Amino acid sequence: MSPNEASWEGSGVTVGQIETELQRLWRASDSDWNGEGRRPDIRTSVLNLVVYARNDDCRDRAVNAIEQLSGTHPSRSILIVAGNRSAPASIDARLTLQSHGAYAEFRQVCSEQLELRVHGPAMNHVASVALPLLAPDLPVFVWWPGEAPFGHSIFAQLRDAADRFMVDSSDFAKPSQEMALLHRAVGSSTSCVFSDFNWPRLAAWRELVAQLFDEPALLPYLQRLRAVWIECAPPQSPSASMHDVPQAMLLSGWLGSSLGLQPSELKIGTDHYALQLASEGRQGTLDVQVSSTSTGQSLAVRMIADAVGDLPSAEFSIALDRKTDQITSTVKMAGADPTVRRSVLPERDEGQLLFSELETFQRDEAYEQALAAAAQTVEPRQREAVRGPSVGVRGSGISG
Amino acid sequence: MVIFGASGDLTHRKLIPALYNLALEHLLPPEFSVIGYARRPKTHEEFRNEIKASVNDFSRNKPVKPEVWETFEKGVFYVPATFEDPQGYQKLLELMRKNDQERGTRGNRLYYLSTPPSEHAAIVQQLRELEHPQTDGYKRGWSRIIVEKPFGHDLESANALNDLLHSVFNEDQIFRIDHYLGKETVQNILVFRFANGIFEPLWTRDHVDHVQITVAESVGVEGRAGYYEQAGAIRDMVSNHMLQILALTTMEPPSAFDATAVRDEKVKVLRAIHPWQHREEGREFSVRGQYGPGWIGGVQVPGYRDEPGVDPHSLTETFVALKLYIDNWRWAGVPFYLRTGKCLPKRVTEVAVQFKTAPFSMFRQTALSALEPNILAMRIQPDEGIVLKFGAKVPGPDIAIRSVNMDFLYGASFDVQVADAYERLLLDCMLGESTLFTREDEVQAQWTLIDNVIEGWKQQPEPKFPNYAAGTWGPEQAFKFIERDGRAWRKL
Repeated sequence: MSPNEASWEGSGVTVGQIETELQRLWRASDSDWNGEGRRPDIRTSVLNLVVYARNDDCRDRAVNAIEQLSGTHPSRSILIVAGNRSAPASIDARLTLQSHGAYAEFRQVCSEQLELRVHGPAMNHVASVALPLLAPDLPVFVWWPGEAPFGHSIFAQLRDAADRFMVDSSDFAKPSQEMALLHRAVGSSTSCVFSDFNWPRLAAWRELVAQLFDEPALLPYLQRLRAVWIECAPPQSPSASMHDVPQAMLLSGWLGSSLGLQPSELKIGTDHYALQLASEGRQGTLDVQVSSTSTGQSLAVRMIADAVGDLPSAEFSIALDRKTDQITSTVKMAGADPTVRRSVLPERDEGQLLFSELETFQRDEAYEQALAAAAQTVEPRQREAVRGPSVGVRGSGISG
Repeated sequence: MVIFGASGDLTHRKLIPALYNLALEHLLPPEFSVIGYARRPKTHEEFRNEIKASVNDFSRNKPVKPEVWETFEKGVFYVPATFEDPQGYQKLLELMRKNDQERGTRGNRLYYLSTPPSEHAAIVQQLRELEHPQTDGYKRGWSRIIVEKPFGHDLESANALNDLLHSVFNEDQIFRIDHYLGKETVQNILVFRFANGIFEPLWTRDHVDHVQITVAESVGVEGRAGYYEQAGAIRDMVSNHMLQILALTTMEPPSAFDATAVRDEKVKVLRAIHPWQHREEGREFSVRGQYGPGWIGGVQVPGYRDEPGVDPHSLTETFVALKLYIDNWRWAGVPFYLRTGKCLPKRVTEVAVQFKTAPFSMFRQTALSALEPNILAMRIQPDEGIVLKFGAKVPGPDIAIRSVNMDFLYGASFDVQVADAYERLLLDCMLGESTLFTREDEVQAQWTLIDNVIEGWKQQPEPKFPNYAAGTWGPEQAFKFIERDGRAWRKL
């Protein structure tokens, strides 16, 4: 154990014992101070993070991600791990208090990590374990790594406790159906906001797409887009269709909702799916085609726009080479040299994605609209519910 | 000091440990004596051994220090008798006089009624004999009586109890105890408000949006079903502790920190609480709940109706949420939301003052609705302290605003063990200081309000209980109740 860490663990403990031991650890850290040099640790939590890990794999992922947080997001994290279902109801706990130098050696902030392995019938009531242990009056972020939570017996309990409920649609077993369920969950909860790690994964892509039209001279092309090709890695399951790639669903959903377009036709094949988007005020349709990449790139976007006014037709593209993490965006206009920009886009790990999600407190309307548009392609009944903006590319922080 | 009901839980868990701690800190005079009075036959020695074990179990300072205990236990005695038995009181009188002579207790008497209310009448009747002017010319000191809650069941019974006490004691001899007032952090409400210049100007309808007072318990009735079935949450918690906290939070500044000035102001504000007029108001301004089976801390707990001693069709409320208004210039139109309940997820008591939000948002990227209000929360237990919540800029190129808490933890700032409420209150009573005890007119004002609430409930349809699961924050209606006003309960 490092000198900046204090911990306690026990088996078959009560929540009351956990609270008492947590207090004792705090007092112990305070009493280290001799009135000189290093000050006592100060509690500066800004949030509660509750993670439900249904197996040890999820638990290990969560531990790795939480470790990255402790220096930057002083928080109380409560990691609940599903234990032995056939055992009597009980809790095994491990508590850790970690200090981190904030500005100088003498100024320390602390984060609290509670890992609770819950056994037996108590596994169906994990909110009853988490609720008493939440630091009061701080926002509650719930992260559910692994398969989709919908339909799980404790999903509703944790959702009701959460201000923000985080999932990763990359973990979903049946992405298209479960994205629709996620959309329903977003619509049915007023107090809890949902988010998906795939949205911050796409943040740079959305930014790059918006930047293609940033120049005022190119902005009119947004209304003249005719076709979009999205290439991405094939779905994880060999039996799944290309429609089961959550990032592609979200990206096409974002494009559609940002441009105020509704799906009018959908064709799903084994290696691609094609979507036709239209709106009443728009001339012609926009065809979106998603297919699996053949070049080792994890994601590529190509867009064709018709001529508009004095401007000739144009092609816009963004391609990522995952081997070098180099990303290239290109604008080709008929009769002119292409404009090429290159930058580097390193892959973000789970800890970084969690970090970015914890920065966000408010509802992300751009995400919810993109999710709604993605869900529309699964459940046509929901089309009416989706209302996109009439112009502009949203969600990138750069308005059209 | 004579404790009636010396075999009870309160004596062993609170009173004796409090007296021992006072002795430990040299706050008791050397002649101090305590006489336990109860039905169960036992000797002085047996009683001494029993209470020594209680100190070892329940005192904040333990184990017992032999040198302190040796002196303390010499002043401990026991009288076994029923509360109606005149001979028992005769023995008590003889013992007290003996202590006056041998230990120098100077004829001072402090009676503590740690008994169920049903026993009060018998004890006070017998005390009348002891408190009569002594015909043999015996020189007496002061006499005081401490009465534990519940102080009556409604206004009528409280008045009857007052009349009974007044037939023997003057008002300045009567100390009605509400142990919440002995808590450091409750007293700190007054210090916070009236020893600082910056908060009181904001403490008005001009700046305060609303106030929430929460007293949450994670336990059930814990073997007190007989009492609780009759009392319910409204009498058990709201009628005393919560109204006292409300009064301290809302009263006008008293001219001095003394018994008359402070209690005058408390009574004034309690009387200004808006009375409900008719059944519709009653429905809109309150929610009742009763817990059903559920889970707390990963442990299955039975529903209230399944607790031993509880009627399986009981309509006693274990949860109450109230909205009160105070009809005065300072608070007109400001709602005060009170909620208390048993078998809630955690034990917590706090007062939270929510201030009005900024009138408009000058930050283009942040909608006005996204600006969180400032909240000043005074936490009474656990983690005693004060938290001020305000918006701060998140470091970075954009104007992103996040609420942060400025946290004052009582224990971290004052590195001393906080005394138990009973220590402070027993000492105050011995010194004749009654500021932290409830006066007759306060009790009347509290019951007037509570009777009014209960009367409103009687006019409503029978509640459908149980309506919340143990381990949750109360019935669904309680959330809708506050959401209707565009507000939300604090997440604690």
